[in-house]
Amino acid sequence: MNEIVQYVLEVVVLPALAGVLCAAPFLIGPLRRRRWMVEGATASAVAIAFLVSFLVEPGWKAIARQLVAIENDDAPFERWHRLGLVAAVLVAAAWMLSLFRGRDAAPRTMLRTIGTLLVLGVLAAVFVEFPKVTVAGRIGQGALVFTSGIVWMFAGSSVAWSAWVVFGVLAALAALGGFASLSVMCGAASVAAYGVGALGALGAHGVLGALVGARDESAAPAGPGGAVMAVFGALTALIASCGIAYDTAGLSPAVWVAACMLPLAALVFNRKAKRSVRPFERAFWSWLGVAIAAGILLGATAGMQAMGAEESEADDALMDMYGG
Amino acid sequence: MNQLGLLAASIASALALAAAPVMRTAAPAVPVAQDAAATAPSAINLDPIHSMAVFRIQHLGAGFFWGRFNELAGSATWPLDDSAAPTFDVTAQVKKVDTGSEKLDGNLQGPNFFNEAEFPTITFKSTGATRVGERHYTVKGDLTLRGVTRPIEADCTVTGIGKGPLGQKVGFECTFTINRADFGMKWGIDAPKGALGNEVKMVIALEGDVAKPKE
Repeated sequence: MNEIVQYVLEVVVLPALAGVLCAAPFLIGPLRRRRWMVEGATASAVAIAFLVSFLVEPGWKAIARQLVAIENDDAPFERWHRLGLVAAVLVAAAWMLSLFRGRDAAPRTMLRTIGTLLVLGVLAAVFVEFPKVTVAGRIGQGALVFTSGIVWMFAGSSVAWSAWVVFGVLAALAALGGFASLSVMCGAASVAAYGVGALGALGAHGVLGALVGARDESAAPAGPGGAVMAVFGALTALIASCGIAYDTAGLSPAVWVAACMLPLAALVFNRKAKRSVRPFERAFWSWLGVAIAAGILLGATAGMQAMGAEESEADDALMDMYGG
Repeated sequence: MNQLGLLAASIASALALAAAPVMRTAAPAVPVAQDAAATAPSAINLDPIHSMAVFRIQHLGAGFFWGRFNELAGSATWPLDDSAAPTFDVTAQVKKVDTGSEKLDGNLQGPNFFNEAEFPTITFKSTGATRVGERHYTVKGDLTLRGVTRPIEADCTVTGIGKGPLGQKVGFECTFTINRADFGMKWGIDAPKGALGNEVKMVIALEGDVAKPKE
């Protein structure tokens, strides 16, 4: 097998499959009746995919090294490896938050979600430190975790499809920034979100229902609950912070922050989404806004990079002319 | 012990010269003490413009790809009469990596390779040397790369002593080979398999100004 294909299988496809398989029992079949299970499965599937991809790339020792000293291990401690630990924590957090949702009444759920995002923001500011980040930068990182969590509220029923796009954009930005490992991990999360979206749609309709567009009314809808907001918000924000800290391609931090804010674009076709009768149409209009915004963001970023390269080449030509 | 080493080196050199000219390069390696010079070693301040490190690595199992670190900084010592081995303390800035492609430079500075954000410098400090010929030494030292320090052996020659407008200049060239995986730089060796080789050959070209003795 071609080495590149094998690599993509190992670090993107198989980790995504692991996430989707863990979520599958809660997205199709009898367990689809409980909304908190659907949320827990959606949130954890993406975090599992990222985590498994991380375990394949730098390996489990990179996570263990963040917590303890390992005997006979003289590999360097690298701060970006904390993302693996974050993903592991978020897998557990996804199910814990979903369990709370299963117990609570609706008003308390919203308060608990906001409280959770605040706590996650503080934890991210205190415990996740990337290189060259100032105190102001760490406060900004905490604020980004909180805000990124809040914006997932607007993704509505397109939450998994929007996650497919947002993690895909983060993967592309990491690739543009020369950070291959981060790129493939985001790629795994993106493919897992796509798988969850597809499985979720199938589970909501049943196999026959999906063919004729009829929804299984007993199936719980997949939406942005507390677990999804916390996991997607924290993961996207910390990936963005990591990308900013390790950028070697001169990508603007604003581009990374904009990628985290993409779920807001679900509001672009909000009227059409609200008027839609069928659930999959509502999800489509929400997703379309996110997808268009993602396309514009990536196009603008690639364009700016190309312009930067042209300017640099022009400078080089000038230097060559004068023997610089 | 140091004087004994120097004596042994002198005897070996004399015997080799007497036997046949061809034996000069085949003279037995003799450890040379760095402080046992008849002449005190001169301090040499490296000239960053004329000092660089060039590296070579295999790409996709096919061609050898070359890059370089510009503007090496640091110092060396060496008695100009070659009565003792040189010492080196050299630092390369990861930001100064230059492959001729800005995109590739960025990739090399990124976390998958040199991780400039966390480990901005690469250092080499010599710890000892063995004479293998006239102005030719095997220099032992510690190479620190990505925060990992490993002992290495470099084959070093004094390439020449020249005169510049500001004083004497000395040139050195050292070559050695490392396995980058030993320094935690594993991307592209096993995954993606064979994208980039493990073995990296380094050629370090140094030129420095001999410091004027204090009066």
